[in-house]
Amino acid sequence: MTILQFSDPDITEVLIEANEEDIGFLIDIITDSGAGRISLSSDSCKQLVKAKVGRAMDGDRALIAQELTRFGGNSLMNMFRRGTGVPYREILADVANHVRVPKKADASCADLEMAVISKLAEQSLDRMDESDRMRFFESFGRRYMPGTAPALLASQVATLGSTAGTAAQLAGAVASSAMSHFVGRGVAVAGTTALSRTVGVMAGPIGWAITGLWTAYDLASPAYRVTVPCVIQIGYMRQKLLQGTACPSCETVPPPGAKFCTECGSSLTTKS
Amino acid sequence: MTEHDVPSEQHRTAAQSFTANLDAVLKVGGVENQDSGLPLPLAAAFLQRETGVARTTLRALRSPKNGEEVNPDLRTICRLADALGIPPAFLLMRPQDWNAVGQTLASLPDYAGGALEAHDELPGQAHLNFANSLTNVVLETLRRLKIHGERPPPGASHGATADNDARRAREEYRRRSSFQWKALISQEGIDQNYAVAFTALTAGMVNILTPKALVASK
Repeated sequence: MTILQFSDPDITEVLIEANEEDIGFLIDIITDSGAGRISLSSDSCKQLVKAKVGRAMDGDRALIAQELTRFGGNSLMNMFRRGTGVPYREILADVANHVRVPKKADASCADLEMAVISKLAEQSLDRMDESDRMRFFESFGRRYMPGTAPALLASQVATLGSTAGTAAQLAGAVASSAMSHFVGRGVAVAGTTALSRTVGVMAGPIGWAITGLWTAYDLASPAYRVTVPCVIQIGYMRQKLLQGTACPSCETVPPPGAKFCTECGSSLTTKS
Repeated sequence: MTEHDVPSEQHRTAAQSFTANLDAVLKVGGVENQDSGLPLPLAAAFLQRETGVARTTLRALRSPKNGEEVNPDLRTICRLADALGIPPAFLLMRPQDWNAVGQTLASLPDYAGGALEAHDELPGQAHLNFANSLTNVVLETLRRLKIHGERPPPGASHGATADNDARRAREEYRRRSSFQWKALISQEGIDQNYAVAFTALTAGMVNILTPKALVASK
């Protein structure tokens, strides 16, 4: 048996560096929690489910990348591309377009993923009542003025998404809400970190209230059931990777260059 | 004027599209310009000869007076369609109808995969002569694609919330709509050797045409 190799640089590092839990989410989305999907061969499904129960080796992670590009291809005229998958960047651009993120030609994958995540956060806020919005911003340590105009709200969310200290937190919150909906469990976060506060706000009733949001994106094409949540989850995984290593004791992601955790004060320089 | 005399939104958009479609086709339906190689308009005299539709009628259909909605009778539509070699239904296609077809074709691998599975599982249904059947391959296709059979997210209430009401309304819309589309493609004269392809196409159409209004807004 030949071991599958990675071929898409935009996704390789994120998948290789990811922890088992994050990989498990991707596997559950692609395999519909092991139940299988029409466009997924039963061999691939079995291999992925096995990787989730045991340990996901590099070959399994490469298979995730391959299947993701295959699903993406299903809404991108894959059959006319001689059956090969499309690059992750194209899937990402398609998802961004689908959730109505304005086009930016030279955006990096991380920028585009955060644009998707911010857009979804903005649309979820749109569906929340004022007290939930207030709790949402408080969890980021920001103040929310009731009655804020939608345009201003959108720019405030975009700021959270583009600020080093809060981008991963926002991505985690949106990813957790998406995973609760698609997979049935949220991103697990330890203790009383900033991220866990935001995730807490986005979980439960508020998360359910934005169910209609996911449904609206699902309806256009069966492939979006896979590509939209995967892009969100990968966006979150990339943010964790990009924004330096999280604090070893409380998992808060500190701003780049910080020597001590901004949340619990632990030293960040001794981490292996 | 009674309520039913007022042109509906459906009529307005179909009339506008018919006018635009006819005009667009006639503009390029003629012979080739010998010098430029570009298509020339179709001569009105030719069309009148072929269809028996008067030039004044034709002009009114192509460029109606301000804000007026054309309302050609079915015979006129069919004659024009016949002379142009375009099926009558296509002359009435609105942009949103084309978009729905395009969206379905763009995701055809998924719909076709679902349709194949549904037909394989229900061998008695391979031929679509099943307008009265209780199982419906179109709906079954959507179920296999995990589009139909929606459930509340894990942990959420199954009660009368706006999201749950919207979900039930979508399920009911798809159920009815699948039967209607299935009836449409099950009729005599339709070559059932293409049954799987028809199922794939209609499954996509049912999914895409499920009204967005059935997604709870809050």
